Amino acid sequence: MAPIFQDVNLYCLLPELVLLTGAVVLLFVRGAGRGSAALPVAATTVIVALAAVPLLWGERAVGFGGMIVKDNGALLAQALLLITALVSFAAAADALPERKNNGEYYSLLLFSLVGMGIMTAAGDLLVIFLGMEILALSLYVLVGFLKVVRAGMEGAVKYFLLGSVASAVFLLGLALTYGATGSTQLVAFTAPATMPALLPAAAVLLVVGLGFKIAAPPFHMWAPDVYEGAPISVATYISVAPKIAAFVVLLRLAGESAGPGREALTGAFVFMSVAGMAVGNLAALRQTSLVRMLAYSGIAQAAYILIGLPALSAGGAAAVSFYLLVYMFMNLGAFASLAHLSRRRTGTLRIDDLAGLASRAPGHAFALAVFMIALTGIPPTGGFFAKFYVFKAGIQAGYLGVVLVAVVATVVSCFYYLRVVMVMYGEEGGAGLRGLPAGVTMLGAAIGVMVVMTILTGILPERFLQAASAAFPLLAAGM
Amino acid sequence: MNPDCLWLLLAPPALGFLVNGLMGRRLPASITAAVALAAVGLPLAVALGFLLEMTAAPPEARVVATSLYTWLSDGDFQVRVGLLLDPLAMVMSLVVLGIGFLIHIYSVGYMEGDVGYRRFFAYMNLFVFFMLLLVLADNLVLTFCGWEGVGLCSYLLIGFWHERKSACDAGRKAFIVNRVGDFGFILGILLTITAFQTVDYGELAEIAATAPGDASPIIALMVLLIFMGAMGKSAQFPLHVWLPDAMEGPTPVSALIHGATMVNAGVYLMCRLSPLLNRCPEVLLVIAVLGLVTALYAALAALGQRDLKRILAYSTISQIGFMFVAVGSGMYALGIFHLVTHGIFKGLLFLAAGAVIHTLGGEQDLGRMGGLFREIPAVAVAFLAGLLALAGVFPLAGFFSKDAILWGGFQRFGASFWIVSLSGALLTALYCGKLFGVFFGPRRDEGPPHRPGALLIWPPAVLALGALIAGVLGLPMFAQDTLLSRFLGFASPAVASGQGHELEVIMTVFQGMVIPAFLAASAYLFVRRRRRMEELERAFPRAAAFLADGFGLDKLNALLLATPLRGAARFSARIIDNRIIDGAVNGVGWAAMRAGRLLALLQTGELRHYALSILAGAVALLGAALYAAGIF
Repeated sequence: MAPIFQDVNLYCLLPELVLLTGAVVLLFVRGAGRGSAALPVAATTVIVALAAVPLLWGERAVGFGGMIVKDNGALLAQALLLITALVSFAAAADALPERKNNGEYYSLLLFSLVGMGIMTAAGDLLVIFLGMEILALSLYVLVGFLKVVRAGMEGAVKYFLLGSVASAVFLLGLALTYGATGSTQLVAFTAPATMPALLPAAAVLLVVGLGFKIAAPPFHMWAPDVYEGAPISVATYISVAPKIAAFVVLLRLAGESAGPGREALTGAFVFMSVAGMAVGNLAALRQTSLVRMLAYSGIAQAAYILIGLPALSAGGAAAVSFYLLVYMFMNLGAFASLAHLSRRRTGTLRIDDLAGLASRAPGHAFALAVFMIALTGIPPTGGFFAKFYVFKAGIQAGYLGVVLVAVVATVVSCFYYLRVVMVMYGEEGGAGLRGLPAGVTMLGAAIGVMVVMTILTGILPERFLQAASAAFPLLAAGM
Repeated sequence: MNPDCLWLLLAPPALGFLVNGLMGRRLPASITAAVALAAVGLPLAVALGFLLEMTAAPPEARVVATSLYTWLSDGDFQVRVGLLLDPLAMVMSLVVLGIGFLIHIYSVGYMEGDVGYRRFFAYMNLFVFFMLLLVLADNLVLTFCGWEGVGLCSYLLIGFWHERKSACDAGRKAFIVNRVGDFGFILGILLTITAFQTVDYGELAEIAATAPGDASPIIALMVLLIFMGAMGKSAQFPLHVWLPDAMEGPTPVSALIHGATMVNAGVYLMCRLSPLLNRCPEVLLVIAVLGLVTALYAALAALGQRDLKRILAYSTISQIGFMFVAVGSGMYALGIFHLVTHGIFKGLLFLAAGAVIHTLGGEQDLGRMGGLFREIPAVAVAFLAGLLALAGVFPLAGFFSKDAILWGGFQRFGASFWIVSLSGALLTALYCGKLFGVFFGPRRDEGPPHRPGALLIWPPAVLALGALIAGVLGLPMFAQDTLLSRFLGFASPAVASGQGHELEVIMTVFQGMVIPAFLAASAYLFVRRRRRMEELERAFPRAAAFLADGFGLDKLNALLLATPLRGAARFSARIIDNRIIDGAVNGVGWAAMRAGRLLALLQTGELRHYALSILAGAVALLGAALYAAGIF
């Protein structure tokens, strides 16, 4: 291994350093009660980190002997992650009890952002693993943050134990990679392996670890239970952020792989994609709880994104990053709406509870309807083009069968997505949902921005696609 | 002319819609009205600025185009969001904005006190936005977006008073009938894409000019399919049935959408596609004949109406028929000329009719109107000016455009065609005369009249002035090369012009005398001999009802379409659906649900099962990968 300490380049970790500082400061500020400074400090930290992204844009800052590569792809992912964090802050401001010390909450969230920042910029599998563990440990605690909620504790324990299993599998894959190539660097996948037979096994095991993060079947079981048990602001965050980070790593892995390793990866992607479309959509059909429905919907969405990974050369990289962008807007929006609607309630929000929302809160009903329509993939929302580009790449790369499954799955998904719209607009007299906050709230504003972006990505899709493909130029050119 | 300013035409109405639609609840009514007026007034000013520059520019430099961005691209095929302001779009935009602005002013007075005041102006601005999008689009797909948008606004505004069931039904009818036409339009667009890989008007024109002869059938089919969409939107026989019912909407809506602008979109679209149309004379013939049939049929039906607004609706259908006659004769500039004059006088007639209805406290039945001239002289004068223009009396606008259309039809299709279209024009004069009864003769309503305010009088007065002078655009007479056609600069298919000018002059003088004569006779009958006419009507109740129902076309539709469809529907519901489809769909749905339940069973909540799933998945993937790599 290269003597890394001769190549310390803190500049390439600028956003992470900002986040780290903020996270540490948060441990010392007063986080409870009315005068809580936790949220302002956390939000400021994230915004400063976000401001660092354009500073580094296009520089491809490399540090620590190539272990950290802050290229545009990493920066795009980082920007998305930071925006996700901001929206989850807006949800957290409502969801968390005031008298608790919330400093810890925001601190842990910033640590998880550091983890994902490292994960997405890593050029070495060991560093990816480090980032993943920083992320995972923070999330385990966040899921069980409200200790009085039994489901939350249960979810946290499940997430922790299953996450450990997945990490162990990933580590095994890492060990096999080292055995096969004598290196843990990502670029090792392209180098001629000393023991080529180990490479497919290594690749598959690595994918299992990452598949757990994106909740791809059969590694998805944790998702509904964890989303349901976690505070809604954490569920909002988990449903988007770790998926973006894991997909960026998968993109790099797929982009660097060659030969037998690549074949194994492709097989794994196709398998997880088809399984995800089947399991996610079919299971979502029967859900009565909104959050569980969205959990399965997220599994299905990840499965659609997976189609783009084996089709990198056919524009799959751009399609995947465009899908991630749109997914962030629409899924964040859906979860944020859910957070807004369920803030004053205990217990889970059922879909039937939304009946008549259109007449009582027309704005929120409209927003939720836009997100549902986007998740289904109907124009003029970005959801349509997200699917369109991924399917197009899949067909061009010769995965017609997978795309056909995806189209059928999309039709099935109409049932459960549009049912939400139908209940809101067509039925009357839903229980609960009284005491919605009047006027403009932070979360309401965030939802508004998500609505606008969801529609804008459908009206100006080529612009966003070009931006997305500019983030991964090497992937688009290579393979 | 700066192409970067084109978006200034589109942005204000969109903004007006957003402001009134989203925040209107907190704004007072006066602000709502001001926002809505500004949203149409600003682009009107911009359009007039463009017009000044355009008239100053040489003919070949009269095109302003800008491509905002690429919406969709797939290989060579691209759909751009691009705007194109050429003389044709200029004329149409001015009609939309000019008449639209006056109607917005009128609406401020007309809709006062309505609970849906804010909603009304939001929809109206949205309509103007989509209409401009339709007009300014530089490709078929974007035009289609505007096309569907105006259809949506039309639906929303017809059913504006949604507590009335008839209004909701009328809105739905309009929407569904337009679906039939739009189905053809979509097919036409798809055919264009598959055949030529482009939807851009400029590129299509080039293709029309250069494509080899064997491409003509495809072009003909394409244009025919798109014409189907135009028939729906422009209410041409037999897809016109929605327009009379659309009068359920507020009167300003009838004036703007169902009189002056949206219903003419089909004519505009056909003119847009004129380079393609020129290649297929058969399609031109189809358009001309359908237009003539519609013109004649709707004029007859108008004669039988008892509702003031329904007369105007049938008259609109009939006049659009005349526009299609012009288009079908290959005289696109003439079609646009009639579109402009018709937009002015029909807008005027609807607005004045609204003032009459307002005066009578909501009464629309013609039988209860009479002798209103003394009560509302200003409105009456405007209305009568509109009627004279509609009938085509010299020197009002309608005279010039109609005369030219009749001559054009004669030149291209011969004397029999001319005789039929002349009878259409004479029928127009007849039903115009019938409307004179509203203002002359004895009063027929009870109670004191509600005199309309200034806002209800001035907009029609301005339009009446327009109806007086718009004929100038058609000067010089007896020439193909009029002011408007020179501005528009269409290429027309070559017409073998054997007849000399003498014949044209003779025919014009003949028409110029016989049409006023018919009008005067009809006015005399319906004013002085009104009771006698009504007795006549009562003597032949079935004939009267036949005319009033528009030849019972709704019933015919019910018989020809709805009954067999209902039968087929019942058959398919009982046999095909219940037994076969339900079996299959429910089977699939049942299977899906069942699979969902099985999956839910897997979701036990037990940690060890979850962990097992992860490990099983890992082992399976590992095995598959190693097997594929040939390890075992």
